[in-house]
Amino acid sequence: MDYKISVSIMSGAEDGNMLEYSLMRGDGRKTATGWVLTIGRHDENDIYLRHDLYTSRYHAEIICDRGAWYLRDLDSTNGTFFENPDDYFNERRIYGTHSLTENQLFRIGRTWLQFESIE
Amino acid sequence: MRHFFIGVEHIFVTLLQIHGSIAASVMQECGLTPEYVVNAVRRKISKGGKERTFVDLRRTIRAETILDIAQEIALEAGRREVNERDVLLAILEEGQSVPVRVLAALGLNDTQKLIDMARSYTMNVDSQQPYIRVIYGAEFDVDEPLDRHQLLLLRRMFYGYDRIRIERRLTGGYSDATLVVVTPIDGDNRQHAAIAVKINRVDRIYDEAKRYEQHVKNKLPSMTARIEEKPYVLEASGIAGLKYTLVTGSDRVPRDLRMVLAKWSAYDIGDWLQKQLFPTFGHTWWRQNRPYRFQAWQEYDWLLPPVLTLEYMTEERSEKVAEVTQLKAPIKRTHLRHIACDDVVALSKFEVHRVLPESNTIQLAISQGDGATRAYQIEVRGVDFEGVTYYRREKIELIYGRVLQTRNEELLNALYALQPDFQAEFRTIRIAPDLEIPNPVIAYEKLLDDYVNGSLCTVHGDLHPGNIMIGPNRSAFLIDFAHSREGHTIGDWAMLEISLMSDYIAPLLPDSSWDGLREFVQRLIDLNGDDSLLDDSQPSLSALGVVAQIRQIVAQCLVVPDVWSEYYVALTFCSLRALSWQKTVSVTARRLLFLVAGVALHELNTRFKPLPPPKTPSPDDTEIP
Repeated sequence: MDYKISVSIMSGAEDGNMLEYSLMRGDGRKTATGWVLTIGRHDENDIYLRHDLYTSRYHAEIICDRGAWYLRDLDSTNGTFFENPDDYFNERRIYGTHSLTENQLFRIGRTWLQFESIE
Repeated sequence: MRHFFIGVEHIFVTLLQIHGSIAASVMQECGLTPEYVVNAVRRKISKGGKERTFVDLRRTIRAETILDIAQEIALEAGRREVNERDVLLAILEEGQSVPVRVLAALGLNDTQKLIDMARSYTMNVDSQQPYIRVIYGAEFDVDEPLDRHQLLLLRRMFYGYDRIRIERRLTGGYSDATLVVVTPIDGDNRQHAAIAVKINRVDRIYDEAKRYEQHVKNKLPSMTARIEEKPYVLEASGIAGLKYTLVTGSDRVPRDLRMVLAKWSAYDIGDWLQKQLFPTFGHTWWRQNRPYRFQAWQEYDWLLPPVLTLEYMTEERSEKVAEVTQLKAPIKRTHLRHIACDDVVALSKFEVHRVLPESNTIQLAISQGDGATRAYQIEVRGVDFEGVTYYRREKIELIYGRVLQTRNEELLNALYALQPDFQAEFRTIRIAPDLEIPNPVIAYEKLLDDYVNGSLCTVHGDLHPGNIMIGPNRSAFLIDFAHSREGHTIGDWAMLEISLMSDYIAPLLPDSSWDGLREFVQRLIDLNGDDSLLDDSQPSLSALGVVAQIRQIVAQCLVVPDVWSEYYVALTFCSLRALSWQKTVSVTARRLLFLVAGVALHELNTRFKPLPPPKTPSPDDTEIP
């Protein structure tokens, strides 16, 4: 089976760039129960954020596990954040693995990204 | 912003910064000032890094997309050139960019409505008319109208608008300034964001503007009320005005803490102070404290009445007086002790601290230093300004005056006005069969010379519910910086506690007799000891919860943890200050605050002794064997 997602860059120098990834095309890494895509400033990453110096080289992962989507922070220096519904200007930093919902905005370093899975 | 690319946010900020642009007008119509929106966008995206990762300054993909949309809008309208409205519409229609997300977070999530508003504006409206009409809002008390000069000044300040609506006075100023909320309305009948205007004498306004520059400007949180423009001066009448840009919710009504006192519970108020006000300003103000050792008079004497109040006397008349006491600056306060009512004094070499032509009064000061907080003031009334002119900071050669009252007399008279059922001139007051507290109008004097170990930071200097404003999402901001300075950190909180006692707790008291108040302050003593004793069976007692929460803030600012002496010193003087405000503070509140001062002194005597003057070993003490 194939996995397909799009990640839109929502801020910074690459604002407006929409990136598509699929397992079939050779993106990411297949696991026993799903698929993993890596995010970071190193060019080995699937989602490669070259212009954001607040991004760690290996910053976070988008994971599909048994059909559910997750975001995992890889102990990044400047953090991975979700929008905070209580205070828009103070985002919620996440540690470890958190579930990812459709069209969710999250921040890697200083770059905002939006996640969307494609059926 | 130190970004090496041009994104939608930069385009949007530019649109807002064009004076009178459609983007700025739409924001104002929604009750937000353009500056506020710009700050919000900046806050969301932060500054860029120091190093650039590519050489040229390029546009982001989204910026290109938006400019393409703008081009299409222009073409549809039969134009080749894109104008500011096209760009704004394109940003709103695209709907995914940082600025649109920020607007949604600020409550403007109805993009279609914004688009309609942007479409309806005529561009470059030149609505400048020679005469600006003044209308009054429903909340404005017409029995207390503004005078001709104030209205003229307001017209000057809002030049370019069609008319202004004066919503209401912001009461609560214990100063003599006039504070009003003004909504400017332009020729298209659009209401812009309300602005608070302070009107006062030119020197006071300049003084506040200077304080704002020195102490406040660089220490404000990114989103708060600001003084954006230089003061406006009306030369002929000697008054001037300052604008504080306000941040209001979608209903456009700026609210101060005083307005919500009746609506919020004690817990809500205290919680808001702790979770909004303290963290918002604490970062650059109250938490930036540095050790500061001072004598109580240095920080708090200015809150008390003048040490002497004199009636001006001409030199010829003074020659007929048998005995004239010579007072020549510099002089110690203790030398004034033997001076009594009706004595005639000759003052020389004192510096003029303040000139008040409207009441024919000048204020001199004994202490050195500057600003509003100069200690030991002498007030000279009945000065004839026709004959002589006095300037601030000038040293007077010689002034004669008859003593109208001394400070002790004024305090004692203020206490008599409260009809005490105890001996007003006794050193202590019995408040329970087994409990006597010091009489503050007697005991304060010794306290002035005590040393206080505290901390120093930027303080507001006049923190009360009328100066504390509540913005969107219950955010906190402050106005009125006339007393801002570097000062005793917890003085602000003592002042706030006292004004809440007077404005919030006193009206809730079931029994305003001295007996009732004595019973109530015993609860306060319990609270001083342990806040878990709070009883919420009565509104007045549960209202003490606000005090308990202020104390939790103070606990974080004490220079030595759990040593409250610095706070009780501040509390004593802040409560004594209100004793002579016969016009603005109710009898109940003044009685209560009198007892609060006594309780603070009681705590100082029993639990937290302030430091005696430092004992450095003097050479005489050394015994030579």
